[in-house]
Amino acid sequence: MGDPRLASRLKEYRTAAGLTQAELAERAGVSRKTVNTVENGVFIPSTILALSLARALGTTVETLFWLTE
Amino acid sequence: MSNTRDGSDDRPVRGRGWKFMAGFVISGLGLGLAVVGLNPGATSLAGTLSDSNAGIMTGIGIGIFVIGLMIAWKLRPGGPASRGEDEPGRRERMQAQRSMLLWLFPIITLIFLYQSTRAIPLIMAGEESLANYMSVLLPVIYAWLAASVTMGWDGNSRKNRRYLEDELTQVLRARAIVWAFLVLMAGTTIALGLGLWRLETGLIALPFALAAAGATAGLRFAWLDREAGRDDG
Repeated sequence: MGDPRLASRLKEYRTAAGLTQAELAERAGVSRKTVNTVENGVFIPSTILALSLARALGTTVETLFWLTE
Repeated sequence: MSNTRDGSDDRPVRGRGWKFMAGFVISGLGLGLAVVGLNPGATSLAGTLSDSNAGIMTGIGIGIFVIGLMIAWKLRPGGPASRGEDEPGRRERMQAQRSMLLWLFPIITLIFLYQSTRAIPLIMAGEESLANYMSVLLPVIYAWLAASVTMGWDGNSRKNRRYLEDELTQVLRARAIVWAFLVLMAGTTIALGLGLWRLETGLIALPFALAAAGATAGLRFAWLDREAGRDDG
């Protein structure tokens, strides 16, 4: 499900915003497990989910996710 | 003054208490049925209950026992149902319930499979009773149930889609079904081979193939769901 080319700062931004995984999940309208797997690089979010997470954290998708190569 | 203190909220709490007790009673009835089914000789049913009927009684008893326990667990004092819960809590609970069902279905199916191996030769020998047909059908029905819950086709999944469905669920489902499809292809191929060799053996193998595919879908989904909940970060 994951891809080593995808890097993420989701956890960094979430903790900086003072949110738990469950709180971010509620804001983005997904389950805590979804946030957990995205943070751990196990699951690659769709464009819609990436945009929802970015909006929930008040940032952009490019800030949260980028390609390592 | 709170609702609980002024008594306006007492009725639902009392209702939950009764339902909690009812869960235990249902569970006890199921256990009793299963015990009688396993050992009809020890009861007044000795001699009146065929092996197939006793097996069906055992299977149904275990099913009722599990359902009773689930009701009691759901409505236990101090549990989420009595506390009232927010949306994330409800989502977690419903997903955990789905996983528990998917772990339980294969166990129940195993019991029914034992019955089906005994019923198929009887049907082929001409004993075409409803009990024998039910013995063959029950593991297949449970295989369909496991597959339906995995796919989100069951009533609960459709009613609570907002709690039970998101992107991750769809990915986990796809991965689980790929495994189940492989097991189904392998199982039916083996059943075909066995059927060409000995028709009866091939027929006996078919419920096993279907049950294995259903169980694989359910167990793989439940396993992936469990892994997704583990925080490695």
